[in-house]
Amino acid sequence: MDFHLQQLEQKSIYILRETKARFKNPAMLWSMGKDSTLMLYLCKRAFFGKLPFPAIHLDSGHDFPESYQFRDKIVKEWGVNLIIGKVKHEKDGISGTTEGLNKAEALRKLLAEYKFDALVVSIRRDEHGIRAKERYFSPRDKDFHWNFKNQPPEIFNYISEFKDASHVRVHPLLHWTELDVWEYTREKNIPFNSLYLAKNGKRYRSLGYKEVTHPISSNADTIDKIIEEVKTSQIEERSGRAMEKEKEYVMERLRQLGYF
Amino acid sequence: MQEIPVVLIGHKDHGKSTLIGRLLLDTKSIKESRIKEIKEVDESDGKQFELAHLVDSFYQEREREMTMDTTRVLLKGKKRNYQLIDVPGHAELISNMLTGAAGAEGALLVVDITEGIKPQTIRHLEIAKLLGIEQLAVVVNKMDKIFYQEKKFEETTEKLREILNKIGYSLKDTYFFPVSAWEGENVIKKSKRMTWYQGPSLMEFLESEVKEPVSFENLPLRFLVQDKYSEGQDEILVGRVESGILKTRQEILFLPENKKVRIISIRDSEGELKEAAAGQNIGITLSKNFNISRGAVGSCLDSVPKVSDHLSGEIFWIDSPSRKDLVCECGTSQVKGELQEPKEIKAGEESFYRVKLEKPIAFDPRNKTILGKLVLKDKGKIIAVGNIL
Repeated sequence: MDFHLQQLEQKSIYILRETKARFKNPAMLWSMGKDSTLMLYLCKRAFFGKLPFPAIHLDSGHDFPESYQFRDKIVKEWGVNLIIGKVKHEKDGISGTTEGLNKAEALRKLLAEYKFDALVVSIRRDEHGIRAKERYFSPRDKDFHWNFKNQPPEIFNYISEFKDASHVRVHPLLHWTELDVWEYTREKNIPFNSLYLAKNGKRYRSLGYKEVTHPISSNADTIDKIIEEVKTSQIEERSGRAMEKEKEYVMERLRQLGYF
Repeated sequence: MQEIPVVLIGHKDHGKSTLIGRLLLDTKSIKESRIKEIKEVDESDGKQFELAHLVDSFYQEREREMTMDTTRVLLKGKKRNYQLIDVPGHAELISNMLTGAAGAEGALLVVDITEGIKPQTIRHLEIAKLLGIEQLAVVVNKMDKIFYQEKKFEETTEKLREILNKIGYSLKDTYFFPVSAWEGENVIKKSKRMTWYQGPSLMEFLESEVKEPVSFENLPLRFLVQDKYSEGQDEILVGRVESGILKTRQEILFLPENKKVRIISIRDSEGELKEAAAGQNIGITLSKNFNISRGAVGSCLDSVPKVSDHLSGEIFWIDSPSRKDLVCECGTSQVKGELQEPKEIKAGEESFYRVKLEKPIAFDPRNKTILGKLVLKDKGKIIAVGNIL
């Protein structure tokens, strides 16, 4: 394997093992997208084929049918301990912001019920300017707020303890890029949702609820073609996701309120 | 592609974020759609688009025209890539600066030529030195504001040389770049406005002079024990090879337990490995089941780490401790200790330190690996970072 990919992988494995060592009851978020599926794979790498944390799917019942099929297939094949967090679905249309807030609310309920103290989330710095400001271990207060003005230091491998936190968000993929994710997925032959592959000149580059996610024009119907496309694209990865716009700092406000 | 982490350090408003923005823009490292979106946000906020906004993403950062927290962005080079690390230049945000700077391979010190050397110029340099960043170059910025005069540049670099020398950076290997990040002079291409300058542009320097991180593979074996998993009958000790190479059937010494033991197998999820090199996270099974757990260091037999309950060295205080009883973390070990020196601590300053630990730990004094560095915690919070001498 390419040395760069190996370094990324090893750093993430170290963080996942730190999560198991430092927290009593971690869980991970799984959206069935390429990043969190790669994270599931890395968990298997870190824990000798086992998945020690449950995977949470925040579900409004409005993901794409292909996503549910993919979920059920992976659950079966990899032995995922799946927890479904029911997300309220707005009947009269849904904006990106409501999608984000409803997911954050569902997560809040779930964490209260299961008492998870750490939540592994597959965000990356290159996705968004606000996500680029995150730490690997990032505490959330009792109200689930992200106090981004006063983030704890993270120096070499050393992190603080988080005594006042309701839970800690752990971000083992922070240092990966979209291209890295695809190259690693190809290298390790990790299964991925078929929606990423182009059909009739369109493919999804990032996946959310079907009402608020739009495909891009693309002829990339193989993973090799996806990699070539990502290398040269001048369009943002999450441009098809309504909530991810820089505009009006939607992401900043959502993240402060508990979104990921 | 290989990525070299490079941190931009220096006093507030000397142009660190603007320089990163300039580098990203002129190398096309940032997607056009991102730039367009940021421009639209600025317009709706009634603001002028600024290069710094490519990294200052928080509303308040743009509103107050300052970097509040560290961020990392990818700079695309021709031969290799760079992870540019932006850090705040305000004294009160020093813990965010440390978070960004720790682990960087090189540092670019940015100095505003109209302001010259300011308190955080010196502090950031001291911190870079303490964190073990050996490669350093100096960007003398805002040359446009003094009409690109050579004389002023020479005066400033002369003063900077004195400071660098005092802090312990070698003057022989240090490059000084006259730059205008705002105008893009001498950033990617050599400036036509400063024909008196004979050296490379900043980007040419990054591409040709900055050395890639040195692998710890050639150092003596150190295996940091992180955790213990059970797999059927087997107990697997998991951790990272911090330096050297670990081989199956090798006899290693665990410290501070002082237990010599043979490695039966090295494993990862894909199966058994013959050996594992620095940077690899693996699991091992041993010939005998000793009570070895997180914090232990596995070492080769001929060059072993030091074991002691006394540590001393240089330390930077993020906060002053509320009491003498602190927790010391080094590698994966975490032990309570009592601070014996210094008697008086000022937050935001560096000092010599001495701690007496509750029990001995294994470490490597004057070492680039994690075993030569420590943090002190007060009530669970990191309050200081230092080296071990």
